[in-house]
Amino acid sequence: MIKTSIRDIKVIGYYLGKIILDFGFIVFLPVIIGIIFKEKEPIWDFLLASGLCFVLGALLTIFLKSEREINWRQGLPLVCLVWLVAMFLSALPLYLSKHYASYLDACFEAMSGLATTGLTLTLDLDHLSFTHNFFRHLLMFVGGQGIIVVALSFLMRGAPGIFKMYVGEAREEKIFPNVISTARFIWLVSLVYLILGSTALAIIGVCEGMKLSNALFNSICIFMAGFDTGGFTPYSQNIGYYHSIFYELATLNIMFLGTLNFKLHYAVLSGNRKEIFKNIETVTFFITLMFTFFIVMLGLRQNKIYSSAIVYLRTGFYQLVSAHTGTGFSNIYSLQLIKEWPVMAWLGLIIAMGLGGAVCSTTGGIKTLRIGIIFKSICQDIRKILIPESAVSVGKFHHLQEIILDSKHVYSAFMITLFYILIYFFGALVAVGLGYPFLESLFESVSATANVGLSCGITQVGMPAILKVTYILQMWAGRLEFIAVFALIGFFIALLKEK
Amino acid sequence: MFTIILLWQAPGIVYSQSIPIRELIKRADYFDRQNITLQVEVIGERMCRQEGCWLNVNDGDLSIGVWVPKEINYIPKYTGGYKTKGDIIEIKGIFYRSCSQHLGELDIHAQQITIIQQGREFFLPLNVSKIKLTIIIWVGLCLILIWKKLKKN
Repeated sequence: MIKTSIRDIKVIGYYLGKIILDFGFIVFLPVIIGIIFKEKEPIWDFLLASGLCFVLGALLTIFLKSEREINWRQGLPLVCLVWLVAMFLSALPLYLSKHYASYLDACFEAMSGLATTGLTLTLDLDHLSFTHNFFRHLLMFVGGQGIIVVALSFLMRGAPGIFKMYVGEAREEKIFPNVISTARFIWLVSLVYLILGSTALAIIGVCEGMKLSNALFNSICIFMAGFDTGGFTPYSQNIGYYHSIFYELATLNIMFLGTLNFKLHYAVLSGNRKEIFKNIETVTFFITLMFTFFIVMLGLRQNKIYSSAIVYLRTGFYQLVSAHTGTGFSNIYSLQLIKEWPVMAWLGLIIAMGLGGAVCSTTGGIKTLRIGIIFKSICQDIRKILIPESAVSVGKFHHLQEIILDSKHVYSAFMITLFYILIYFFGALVAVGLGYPFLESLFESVSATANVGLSCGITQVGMPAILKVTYILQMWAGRLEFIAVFALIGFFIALLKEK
Repeated sequence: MFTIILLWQAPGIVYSQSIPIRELIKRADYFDRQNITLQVEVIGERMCRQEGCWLNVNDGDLSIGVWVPKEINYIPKYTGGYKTKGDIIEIKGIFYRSCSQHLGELDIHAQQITIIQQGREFFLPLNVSKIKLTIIIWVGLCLILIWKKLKKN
């Protein structure tokens, strides 16, 4: 039987306070943008919100001080609470911008940013301040790497049991033996790519006619949203605003980079380039991308809307990569998706969104490692039937090293895949119950849970509050990959039972 | 009656009334390669390429890209942003559902641009209550830190 105590609440509260203190620095950062662009009102929005973070964090750490080691019963619920509290705190400056119809809408936007989804409820995005716009994209950059990872990298010297927090944020892979070193490596790679990627985008922007200051601002925002496979953009037309195939090509590369496992980044940067071709994740991603590309192209050919092969590629392939990497960048309107794309092309996109990218990356979805393991286990079972009874067959897969395929891997892969599929359909049922068509409901539900952000038009300011709450919970649960969420629910049930 | 129906169905018909962008996209197959009129606000920035410039415009609901050839000499004084209201312009041009010149983009090629209302910068007053609350929070934070320091000593 699970037993909780006041001690657990104290530990959770103390570390929650520490992380909120650290998060306050993130909320403070846009003040610098406000000063650069001379946007006075937004500066006060972020001073107010960051001050609140610091006060809340300080009070929690003072009154709930604890030096105890975090155990699994505390670590996983703690991570869930951190993400929820971060959502409420991030929503405050967004709501103060007056570009959100309600605080719920601002919370939706905040969770969409942190969970690197990209579904948006911003009113009049084209007139939003640079300060608030930067914050939306910064949330993606922080959320993609992980709020806990940020805290571990920069601001926390370490605490006993912090690995449990790291795992709770859907990160199991340790690049280095020490989890703080792993977190810092993830940030080092991200920051180096940020400098290189935004420079490349800024150069393209200037060549395509943008002023340098605007090109720089847009490039930083687009890189943060692209590498973290988030999908927010500074303008309502999304990637279509730039009218540039070169910008789209650059973002394609950035999306691919973001979808790779950070351990793979380490391997390649260490000189092991062959790993890209041997790794089960990249091989599975390539196969599923080609499979869904075939479905999407077959579908688009039915309607014969586009005039040439290059247009098919520019539209269909871009949307597909955006879906499969979980980014959500779009170079077409959601209305075009509804009106012009046939059902077969929709199905291709839904499958791609549902599958997702690599584990220990910034992407969402079921993840290609699990798909690869499931496929390998099915092949292994078929092989066992076909080989002589006396023969022994050992299944293996290559993920940075040769790993023997055992029941533990297969069970874990099947379980998480099942959770994802159940949540995909649950979200679809809620929307269908509210009167939306099934295929569109499924599309939007998969997009929210897999943290993609492509929309077929359901996500808009006028959608029912219950659906907004459903999508918030789906984005949150999808980002943390369910186990931490179930741990939080179990913790509260145990707490109530004790009372 | 027959003439009206004939005119409605004939290609190349000129629409004198402004069409919402949402309507253009929803009925893209119907408006494809038709002359249309839009009354919109210029947003973002003008991006000039070799043969012309891109403008992005917003009608209060959606935004769309407008290709302005070099021959049309229009430079917006203000474009819509946080502190600015962009020029309100009337665009007469051809709508393309999948423009072959621009690799399949849904866009409008402008033939004529008329300024309806010049854009402007506007002053946004500060919210005094928000400033007061922020100061109270930061003073409170300083007091908490001082109290913590004293408690430690």
